[in-house]
Amino acid sequence: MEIEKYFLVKQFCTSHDIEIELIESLHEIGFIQIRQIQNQNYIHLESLPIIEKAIRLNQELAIEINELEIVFGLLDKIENLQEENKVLKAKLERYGNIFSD
Amino acid sequence: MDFVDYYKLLEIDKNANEADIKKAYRKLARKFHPDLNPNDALANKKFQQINEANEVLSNGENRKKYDKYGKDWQHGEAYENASKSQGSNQNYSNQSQGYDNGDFSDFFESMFGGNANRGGRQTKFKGQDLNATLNLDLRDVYETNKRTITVNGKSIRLTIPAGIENGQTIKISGHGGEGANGGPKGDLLITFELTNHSNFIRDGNNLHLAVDLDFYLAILGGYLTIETFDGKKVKLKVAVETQNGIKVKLKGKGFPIYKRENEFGDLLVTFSVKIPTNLTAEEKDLFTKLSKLRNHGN
Repeated sequence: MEIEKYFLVKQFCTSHDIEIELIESLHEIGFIQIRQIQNQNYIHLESLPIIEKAIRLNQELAIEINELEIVFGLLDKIENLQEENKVLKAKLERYGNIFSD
Repeated sequence: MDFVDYYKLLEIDKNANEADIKKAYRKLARKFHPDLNPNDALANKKFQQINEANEVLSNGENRKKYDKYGKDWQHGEAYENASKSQGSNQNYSNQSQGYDNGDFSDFFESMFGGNANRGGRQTKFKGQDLNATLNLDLRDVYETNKRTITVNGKSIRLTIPAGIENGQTIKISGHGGEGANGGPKGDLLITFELTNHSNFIRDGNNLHLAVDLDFYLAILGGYLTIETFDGKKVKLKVAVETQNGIKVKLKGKGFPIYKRENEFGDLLVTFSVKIPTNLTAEEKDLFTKLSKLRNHGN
């Protein structure tokens, strides 16, 4: 059943002792999708890593909820650059091998 | 094994107070936190180091020990061992539970012991949260009531506040699984599943009720007595020429508002006008006359 892939926002917030605003902000930023099923707000299980990261950043580093958008944006850029860097390094290595032959 | 200068790691001096340590740790944690440094092994290593420094320096007892024996930690260790010679056999076998010993330097292990001797560093784990579902009738939550439920063989007396929602979860702190390493017990999370066998439809704090309205009463107006959710009778004035589907709001006659004493939502009554059936010849004749009066007939 489709509903099994989702978890109830209210329940998640209660069990993790977090404010519902955190989830709403992540939704507003566009990092997660909130879905209404039978008049209840649900989040897809795939969003769990993002939410947990947001909770860690918020609780361990006191990063405000409204700053998360910037942080997530920059992290996204870093990961893209790292990926690009990896590809370029691999290319360079290939060319290096060609020239050394 | 090299001496680790925790003060240097946190970039503070030896006279730093608790607030300075916290501030320094926060600053460096923001810089090296693994979430902020994806795929960066060096940052992760650095984060582990500052974490370790913070664990020692932010714990009064550990800091005292570190300050006392710091650079001469090997002698300190010998001293500690001597003073505890009658105690248990200290075990530095690096066996850990719950987290990876690789997170700590050898220096830390020697200074503050293995898993059993970490003092402030030993992670306390909160017990597992338990989930339970309680099925109730909508009428059961119209008033605050007490229930005794049994979870894992233990009876728990529970106060269920009036107005609780279907699917709502309440947390009973400390009634979950046992904690580890002296950590607190988990919580019990009770989710309410409400079934409704009444004629009322609940919409948050408001209730909806469909009421059949006699055709003649709808046209000529009058009074109608209905029963509210709590079983009380309410006399409603029906306006002349009341139309089918019209809604009447009865303020404060709805469902109790959760955790707000003596506050209720509204009751919305929808009238459904019933057209008479099995008309007699005389009635048909009269309706025909009425219709003609309205210029709708032939």
